[in-house]
Parts: sequence; structure tokens; C-alpha cells
Amino acid sequence: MKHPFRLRIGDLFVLAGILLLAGGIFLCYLLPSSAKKNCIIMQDNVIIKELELTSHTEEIVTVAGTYENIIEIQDGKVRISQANCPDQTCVSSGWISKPGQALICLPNKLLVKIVSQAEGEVDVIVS
Amino acid sequence: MHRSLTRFLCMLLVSLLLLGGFTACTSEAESSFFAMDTMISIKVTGKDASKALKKVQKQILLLENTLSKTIDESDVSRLNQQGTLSEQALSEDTKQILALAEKISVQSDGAFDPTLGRLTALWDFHAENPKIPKEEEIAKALSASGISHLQMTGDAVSLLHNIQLDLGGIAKGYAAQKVTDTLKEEGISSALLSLGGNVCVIGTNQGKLWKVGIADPEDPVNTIGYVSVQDTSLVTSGSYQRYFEKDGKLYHHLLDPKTGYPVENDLKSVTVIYPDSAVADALSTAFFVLGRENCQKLSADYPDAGVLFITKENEIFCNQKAGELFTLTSSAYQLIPWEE
Repeated sequence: MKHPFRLRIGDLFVLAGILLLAGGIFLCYLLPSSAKKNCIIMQDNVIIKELELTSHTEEIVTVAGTYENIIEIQDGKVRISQANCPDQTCVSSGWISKPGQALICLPNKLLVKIVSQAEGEVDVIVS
Repeated sequence: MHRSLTRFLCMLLVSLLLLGGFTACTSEAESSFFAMDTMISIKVTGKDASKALKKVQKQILLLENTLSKTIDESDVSRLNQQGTLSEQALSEDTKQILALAEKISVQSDGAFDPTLGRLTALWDFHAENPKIPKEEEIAKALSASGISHLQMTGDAVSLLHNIQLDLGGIAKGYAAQKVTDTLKEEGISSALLSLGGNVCVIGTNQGKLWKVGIADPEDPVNTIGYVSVQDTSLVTSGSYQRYFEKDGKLYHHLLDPKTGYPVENDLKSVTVIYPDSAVADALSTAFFVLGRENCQKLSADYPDAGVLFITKENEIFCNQKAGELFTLTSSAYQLIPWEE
């Protein structure tokens, strides 16, 4: 008499397939996302530079255009340290360091934003 | 028995493959660009996300070309230049936005006023070196304003008494709402849209509520807290958004239609949460102009609107609706219960 719950080789292949798929889905969606932060510098919808924002990243980026902005990156934060735009709003915005934060220079069509796959404090700021 | 088990396992495998296939079909697309005198960011998730994104980018540029008062061929510019245009000469968008602007202007007793074109041109907060206009210039500009002088007969739109339109207090919200409607029609299930002080969200962020930070008026790249929302819009009007300084005094862009000068009250910003972004946009300006003490009547007309006031004393007053959604995170501000 056959054992009612005996698995055959085909069953094992199907089980292995399911386990592999389940593992893939788990890795893709359920594991906590990387806390890696990136700084993206864009002008007029074109990415000029993208770099990982770590405590060791140190860089000065100059963006030309109608006006000029000097972007300073250090200690995991970013600011527009100098600009010759008329309103100086971008310079007075100071440092940003968290995902969801952004610096904008409207006169020079410049956007500096911080993004991360990890869940941030906020998704966007209404300002 | 083992046949039943095999059948079950096969069905499970097929289900998982279908789930995987469905997930693969759902794509994400993102874009940031300058239009309507602000930075616009759109992030969409859904079927054909890139196609939907391209469509709404075009839509925004089209709306800017229709509603801007600084583009010569726009409907608004042509109305300002010619004074009267037949309905056929105007786009549906212009007619819709004018009807809504008129309605909210009347409801707010003129606190929101789309006919202040002469006054806003006089102050010109976009100029490289803005100046304080002379008193007589302000009086003259104010005499050529008022929603009762906007005439819409069904055949034509006329600007009487020399008024000029400026839809700056509602156009971005209107565009945000139109884009939201289009994205939904295109089958987009999740989206985050930001047009300067206007934010719209569609659906949820991967099953979680969107966390929309409310800017700290003293330091707008940081937040005083956030609201947790889905399928709605938020608009902030704040004195910090555009201003200039003269002789130690700040002059901001939110003008009082009664005095012609920047509003002087105890507020730093007002945020409105409402499903229709055009309404939220106009209401945020109206509530800022009216102030907390005088907004009961307008609040009653929009009982579903969440309203959050931030005062110069770093107090936050939320109505009940906003209070249910808001989480305070800044220790520099105090949340005070507000009885409307």
C-alpha cells in the first residue's frame, strides 16, 4: 500500500521553485531598504551629477548657467555656499542632509535633492 | 493524495508567477523641471508610467501658456490686453479656472482676489530690485480691482473698470489638479506631485500613507511636522515664500486686497489640505489674508478642508480635520487646540 503523503521527484521540483520565488520576493520587497543616501544635482531637468552622500564625501561643484551656484558637499550634508543669483534664496536655505529635502535656485533652474530607498522622515515637503 | 498536493503546488506556483508578472508590468518614472515659475517634481508608479509622465509634462506647459500673465499669447494676457474676449476665443481651462476663482473670491469676501493684476504688477516681487510702490500708485491700482468687475455672460468674458487678471493664487493648484486627474485617467495608481507650495498625492506610497512635511517658515528646507495622507492635495501660503527687505522691514508677496500692502497679521504660514488642489490653493491665500479670527464663514463653506496655521509666536493651530492628520516633530513649535 502506498503512503498517502509520499512526495515524488516532481513535487520536490515544484516546491524548490516556490521557495526560490518566495525568497526572491522577500529579498526584493520585505527586507529593509538600503539606508544609502544620494545627492542629485540637476539643472533644467538634466542630471549634472549624482553622488553618494556619506560622512566622507567632500566635494565642491560649480554649476554655470544664467547665474552661477557653488555647491558644497561635506560630512553627509549639502549646501549652496555661494551664488550670484539676485534673490540668494538658495544660499540662505543653508544645509540639507535628509531624504526629501531639496535646495532650489529658481533663477538658475537648479535643483539639489537628497534621495534614498530607505523610508525617510517625510516623502516631500510642502513649502 | 499526492496528486492533490501536486495540483495545489502547481496552482501556487502559477499564482506567484502571475504576481511576479504583474509586478514587472508596474513601472516607476520621475521627472523634475521648471515651469509656471516654480520647480515641478513628479513621481509616478503604475502601468506605462513614463508615457503618463510625458503626457502631463506637456499638459503643464500647455496650461502655463494658457494661464500665465507674462506670456503674451496666453488667454490671461489677451484678456488683460483686450478687455473682452468671446467664450470661443478662450480655452475650457480658462473658463473653468475663472469660474472657480470668482466663486472663491465671493465666498471669501474678496480675501482671495484674482483681479489684483495691477497691484501685483506694481509690487513686482519677481523683479531683481523690487521697490515699495507709492501710496497713490497703490490706491490707483486698488481702484481697478474687484471680482464684481469680472463679467462672464456665457458669450464673453469681460474685464470691466480697467481690472487686470493675475491667477498666481490659483493657477498652480489648478494645474496640479488637472495633472492629477490625467494621471488617474492614465491608470496611475500611485503618484507624488510637487509644484512649489502645492503637493498632490495619488493612492499610497507602497501601501503606506504619504508623509508630507510642513515647512518650517523660519527654515523652509526643514519641517515642523508632517501630515499622513492619501489621495489629496496640500497647499501652503507663507510670508517666507517671496519677499524683499527695505529699511529693516520685510515686504512679502501675500497682498491684502483691502489695503494694497502685504498682509499684516500674526501668521507666518497657512496650509490647506483638500482633495481639489485648485480650491486648496485659493483657500490657502484667502485664509492667510483673513487670519484665524475671520475665517469661520469660509471654513463653514469647506467643512472637509484641513487648515493648519503657523503663527509668528511659533504656535500651530489645526482645525479638527488637519489635527487628525498632523504629527508635530519640532520642539520649537507648540500645537494648540483650535476651536473654530
